[in-house]
Amino acid sequence: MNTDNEKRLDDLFKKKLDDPVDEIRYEEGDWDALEEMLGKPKRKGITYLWPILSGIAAMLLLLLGWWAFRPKTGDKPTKDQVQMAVRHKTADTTINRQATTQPKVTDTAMNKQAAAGSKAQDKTKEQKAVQQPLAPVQKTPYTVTYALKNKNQKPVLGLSPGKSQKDTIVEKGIGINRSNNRVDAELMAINATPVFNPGSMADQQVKQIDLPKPAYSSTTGPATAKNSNKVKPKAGFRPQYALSVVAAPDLNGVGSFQQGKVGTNIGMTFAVGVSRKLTISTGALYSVKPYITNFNNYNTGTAYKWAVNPLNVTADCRMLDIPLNVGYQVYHKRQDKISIGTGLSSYLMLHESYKFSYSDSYGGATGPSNYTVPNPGKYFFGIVNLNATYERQINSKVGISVQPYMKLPLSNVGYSQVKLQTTGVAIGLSWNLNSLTKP
Amino acid sequence: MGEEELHQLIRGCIKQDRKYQKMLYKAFYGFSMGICLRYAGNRDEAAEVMNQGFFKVFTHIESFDTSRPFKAWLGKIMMNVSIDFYRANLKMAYTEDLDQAEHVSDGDIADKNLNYNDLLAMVQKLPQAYRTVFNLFAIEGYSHEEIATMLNINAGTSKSNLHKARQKLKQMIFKADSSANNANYNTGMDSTSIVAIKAINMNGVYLNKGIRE
Repeated sequence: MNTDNEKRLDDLFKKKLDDPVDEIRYEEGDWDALEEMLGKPKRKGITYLWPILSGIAAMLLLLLGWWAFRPKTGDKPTKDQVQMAVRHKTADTTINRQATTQPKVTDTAMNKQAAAGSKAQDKTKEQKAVQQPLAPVQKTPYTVTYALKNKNQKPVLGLSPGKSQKDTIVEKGIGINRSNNRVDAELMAINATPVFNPGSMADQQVKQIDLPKPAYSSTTGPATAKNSNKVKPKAGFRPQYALSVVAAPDLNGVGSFQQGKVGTNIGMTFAVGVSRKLTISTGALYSVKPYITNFNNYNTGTAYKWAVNPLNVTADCRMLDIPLNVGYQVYHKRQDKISIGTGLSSYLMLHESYKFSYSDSYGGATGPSNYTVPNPGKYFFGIVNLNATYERQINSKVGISVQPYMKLPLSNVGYSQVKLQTTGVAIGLSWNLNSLTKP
Repeated sequence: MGEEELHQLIRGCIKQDRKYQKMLYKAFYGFSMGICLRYAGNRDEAAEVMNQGFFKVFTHIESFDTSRPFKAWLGKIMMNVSIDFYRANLKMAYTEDLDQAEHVSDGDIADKNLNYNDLLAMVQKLPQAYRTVFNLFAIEGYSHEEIATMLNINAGTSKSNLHKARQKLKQMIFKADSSANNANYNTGMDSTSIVAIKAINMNGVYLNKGIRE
């Protein structure tokens, strides 16, 4: 083939193939494939889901925690109701609760004491003396596990899994043990002591959490995981001012949600993004909070002397809820955002009325059937808000949000001085006020 | 697309704004696909390679020097991902029998009526190693030395692959041409006979067959 012809062949292809834009039709499917690719590298395995998972875990723990520690008012009231008013029942239950929770803590508390006092060798030895006869052989495997675990998790400790426990303990310099060459039984006791190593309180707590009561580890696990993930940097700063219309059905109860009644909230909130992650929000919500409670939670002091105590009280409260919350964004990708928040709410009572119902078994005697509070009060910053928010930006201006929340009382609220708690889900439609200035 | 508009798109892409990424993608889809189709064996492969190219563009867009032409930068990336995609196959020796190709006559091919799709199909039919070298030499304009460096092959291999690519392409062109001629055979005969009749008429009536002379 001669050179001319070669050139002509090359030119033919070059001319026709060089920039054939008009010949090629755009395919939406190709973009979809690329979009999927672009989404991928951000998700590094399961860590991609950490912020969401930890958010969910935090909410679950919150709920579980609340249920677990709610005052057990269920059994007692029936007995009390037949008798004369026992006004201080709530106080009693609080004490009871403390009493019941205390034994759980005792172990760790004792351990901590021991930890603090480990310089005082006598005390520590006492502790050993207590532990040793219990189950010295069982203690040992725990210690081994922790020596190894901590090696993996916290290299700072400088423990070597290859070394014997004996060495480890000695190297950590507890100082109690200069008697390396004692009998095995003594060693086991010593092995149990790294828990009380005064050198590092932080390590200790991790050990203590895991060692005797697995129940405690579940509370700290997700929390630490969450902390480590908060550091994760995120791109894309959104408009800073947002106005939202919020509607929320919720469940109200006193002490617990066992007798919860459904209320409604509607209002507006205004949010200011003060940094990429932090948002401060406030607003006003008109709330209808009906609730029903046992009479012993109804606390009017000495204002009125009840001839016959009602069985329970149904309240109808309407109020203005003024929240002041701080939100921290834990996840943001494209239009989706998840944040967790907390803050305080003030309740401005607008209407407060109570209905009393009486037990039939009490000879049909009744007292007043209802009461409307003439001048409902204002309760500033008496309520703690906890919430998690999922927000989806529909376009640059409008977004929708779903926010499960919980309102826990710091102080008693209303004429009847109840500890009114609320949980619900707020649905919001938000409008970015400064979206006009940004593309 | 205006210069300012393009820079706005690029700024949006630097912010990793999906909306701007899509706009840029759509704007340069044809251009990029045109490159990848030449290097790929088929459309699906081309789309895959092109998306890899755009992925690189979007993840490295902040390194783009806005004072330079974007299209050239994009084209270079598309070419590089195409080469990367097939690099494993580029050194493979092709022992295909080119005897037949050697006998292809050196007829004129410049005025063959072949459209974009015909030519693209021919290039895509080439073995990868030939196709890549042909693209780089004939269309992109690189020298054999440059190609050798880019593909990590000998300059001699590059020359040889180009030669074989040309032979094959020529073969395909003539094949296409002959089949087209066969299809048009009757038409050709008709027109010839008509011309002949006209010629006779002209000769008879005007007697000036030497009018052009």
